[in-house]
Amino acid sequence: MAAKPLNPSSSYAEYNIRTRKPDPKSCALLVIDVQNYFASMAAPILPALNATIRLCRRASVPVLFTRHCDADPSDYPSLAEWWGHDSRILDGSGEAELMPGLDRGDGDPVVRKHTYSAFRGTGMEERLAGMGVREVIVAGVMTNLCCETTAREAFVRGFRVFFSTDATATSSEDLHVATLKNMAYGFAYLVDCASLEKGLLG
Amino acid sequence: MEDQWKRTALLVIDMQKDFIEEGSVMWVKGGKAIVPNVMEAVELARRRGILVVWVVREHDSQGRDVELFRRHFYSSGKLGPMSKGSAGAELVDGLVIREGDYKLVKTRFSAFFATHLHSVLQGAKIDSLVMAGVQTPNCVRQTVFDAVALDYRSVTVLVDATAAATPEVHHANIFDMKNVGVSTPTLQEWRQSAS
Repeated sequence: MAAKPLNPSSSYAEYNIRTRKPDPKSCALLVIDVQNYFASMAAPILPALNATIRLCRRASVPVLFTRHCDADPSDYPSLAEWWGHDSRILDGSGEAELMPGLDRGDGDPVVRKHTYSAFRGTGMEERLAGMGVREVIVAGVMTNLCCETTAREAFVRGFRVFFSTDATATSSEDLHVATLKNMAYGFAYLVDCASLEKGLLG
Repeated sequence: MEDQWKRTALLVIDMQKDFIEEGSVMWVKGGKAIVPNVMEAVELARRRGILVVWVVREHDSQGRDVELFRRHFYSSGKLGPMSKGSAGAELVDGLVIREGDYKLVKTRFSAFFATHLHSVLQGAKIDSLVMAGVQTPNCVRQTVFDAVALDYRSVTVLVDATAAATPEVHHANIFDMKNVGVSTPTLQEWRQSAS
């Protein structure tokens, strides 16, 4: 999580053996589920999220947002069963809206999703391919659920994946770090605001 | 204010590798230093909904459409500067044409000379222009003077997002543009003007 990592990068650094700069001409930033429902987790990383968004805009990298809205339980029973029917995020409610402090521009697409993956049932892959996007930078919440699933999905669909360490957050530090270890090991180049600034703006 | 942005276009002039990268015969010495400011101007324009027009030179590989005094660059069998399709004609790293932007190809100094830029801008009801790019005494200056001649209500040149071979040349030309009613703010001043 953002503010004070218990064990700073040392805990996942041993897995982070690859470095690469994103290519501004073919990458896109995916800002996952920064909705009021997740405000307690997302508020502490909002500055880093907005900084990441701004860096991408400066480099002409398109920014896409997702909102998680639970579908009818009969369509996706697993989420309702897992988290409970009361935990559903209903489209149209205040909780389902993107957080007001989030830097979303008028032209930025907002994609609705019904499960952890931003690719499943959303047309995201076709949309990105149509934009000529071959790399994605993943930021947002929750690190180990929607961000990680989206990153894994992107990887197995052939996208190059970058995963933000300071603009993602989840409910506990150890789950956050566990994701970063696995991402670095098998799926994504780890980035943060500092490395993105160097990588995108040179 | 939002209304004003709908009537404004940012012209990013000749920010191509053959003008910006050292070693090219067309290298503009002050060009590389303004790249970050040009990137920021573009970002600002997109955020405000201002039309971004990428003005670029693209020339015939044999130089048949380039000014007479530059034709000799196209004869030796080596790729001439800003040859259509060449790497040198591409925008410099950091500048990317996005959907919604407009690309305007020219073969002379002014973005208006023998192009349809004026009709495209008029069709979009644009009466205010902001300039960034290179180089101040040539393509920027000619475009600016033509814009004044064509009665654009407001013509602005971003002094720290335009450049020439030397600061002296740059400022001399900015001085001349000021004298014909052109606004010459810094990027910072433009950012603050009506935000």
